[in-house]
Amino acid sequence: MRVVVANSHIPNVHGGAEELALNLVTELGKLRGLSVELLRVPFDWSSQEGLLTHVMGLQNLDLGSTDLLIPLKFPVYFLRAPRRIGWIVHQFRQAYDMHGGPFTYFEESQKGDDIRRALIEADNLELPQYDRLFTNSSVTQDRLFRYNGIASDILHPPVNEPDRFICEDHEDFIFVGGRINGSKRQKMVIEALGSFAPDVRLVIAGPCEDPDYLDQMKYLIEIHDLQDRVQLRPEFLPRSEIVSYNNRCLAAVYLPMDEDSFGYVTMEAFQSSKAVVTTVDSGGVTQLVKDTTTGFVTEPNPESLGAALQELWINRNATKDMGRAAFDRLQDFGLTWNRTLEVLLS
Amino acid sequence: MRGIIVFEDLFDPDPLLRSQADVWGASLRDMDDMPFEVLHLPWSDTASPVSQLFGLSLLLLDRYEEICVLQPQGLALTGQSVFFLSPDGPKGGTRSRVTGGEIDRDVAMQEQT
Repeated sequence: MRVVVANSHIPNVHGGAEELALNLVTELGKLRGLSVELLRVPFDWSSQEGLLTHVMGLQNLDLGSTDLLIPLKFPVYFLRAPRRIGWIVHQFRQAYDMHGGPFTYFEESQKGDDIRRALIEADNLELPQYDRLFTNSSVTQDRLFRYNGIASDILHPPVNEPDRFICEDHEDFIFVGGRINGSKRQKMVIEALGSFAPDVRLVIAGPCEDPDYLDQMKYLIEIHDLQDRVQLRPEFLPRSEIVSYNNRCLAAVYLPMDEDSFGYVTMEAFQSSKAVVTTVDSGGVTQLVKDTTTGFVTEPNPESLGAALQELWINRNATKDMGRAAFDRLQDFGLTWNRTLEVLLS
Repeated sequence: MRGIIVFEDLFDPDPLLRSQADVWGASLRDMDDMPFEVLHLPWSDTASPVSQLFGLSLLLLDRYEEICVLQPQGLALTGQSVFFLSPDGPKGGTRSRVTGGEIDRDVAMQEQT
C-alpha cells in the first residue's frame, strides 16, 4: 500500500504538526512496512481572497498511484485519493473559534463574511466524505462537531522516541521549550521571574519565529537584571539537546494560548517525569496538567505564574513527586506508536 | 527563502532531478545568500495535464520570496517571483524570470549563473 502523509507547509516554521508528520511517516514505514511519502504543500493565508482558490487548486492536483492519503491540516485535506483517513490537527481556526475575537482575520464586510461562510461550507462538504476521521484532541474534536456537525474520534499523538526521555537529574533550572513567539508567552515567564520568583533560573530554548518578540524578551531580561538567571537559546535545537534539557531540568513551563492538543512540550516533560506549569487558558495542555498533582495550572499573569515557579523551586521534594505523578498520568493514556497506527489504520 | 519546486510521481522520484534542484539551490545561495529548500509536488503523467496545471496555478506560494522551477509545468505557478532554471546556459545554467506563465528571454540573458 502506498501512503501519502500530507501537511501544509510554511517556510521556517517547524512545530508540533510538522513533528507529527515526520514521525508518522517514519513509524508507518518502520512498524507497518508501508511505502510512505511526506507531501508538504506550501500555504499562505495573507490574502482572504486566495483561500478558496488554494482549496480549488488542491482539489485539482493528482496524487497518482497513492492508495491512502492521511492529511493533518487545513487545507491539505482537500487533496483527493482513493482512500482518505484524516487526522485533523487544525482546521482554519480563523473561520471558527478565532472569528470575532482579538485575532479576527476576515474583513468586516459582506465579502469577508461570504468567504468565511464558503470556507466553512467547504469543510462541511469535504470532511464527511472521508473514510475515517480522527482529531488530535478533544478541543479539535469539539470544534469540528460544534461548528460543522461532523463527528470524529480522538487520536492523541504519542511522544516520539519516548525511551530517550528519562529523569536523569533535577538540576537548578526550569525548562521553557517550544517555538518562541507571542502565542507561547515566554515574555510572561520572564516577567514572572523578574518580579515574583526571586530564586528561579530558566533555560528558554526553541526556534524563534518573531524577531521583534525576541527583542522584547531580551529587553525584559535586561531591565529585570536577569542575565544570570535566564539562559536564552533562540534557535532550532537538535533533538538530543531537547531530550537533555527535559531529562535534567527541575520542571518545565509551557504557556500556549488556547492550544488544541496536549503539546509535545508538555508530553516530553511528563515522559521525563517532570512537573509542568501552565495557565488556565492554555487549552488542551490543561487536560494533561492537573493543578498541584502533576504541576500547576495558574492564572495567566506574572504574579500567579511567579508564585508557582517559586513553589516548585523551594519545595523540591513536592516537585519531584509531581514529576513522578506526571509520568504516571501520561502512561495512563497508553500513547504508543504501535497502538496509534493500529487505530489509525483499522 | 527560495523555494525550488520539483514535480514528480511521489513514489517514483527522479534522483537526477532532485540532485539538480539541490545543486541549483546551493549555487544560487552562494550568489545571493538566500536560504533555500527543495519541495516536491505531485505530478502524474497519466492524469489530465490541464486539470493539474489549473490546480498548480491556484496554489498560494507567497511565503517564498522566490520560486524556482526546473520543469515546464512549473510555469503555471504564481508567486512574488518565479524563475525557470535551465541547464543550457553558457556558464552551465540559466535562471530566467517567468512572467504570466512565459519565460522572459530578455531577463534570462541577464540572469546567467
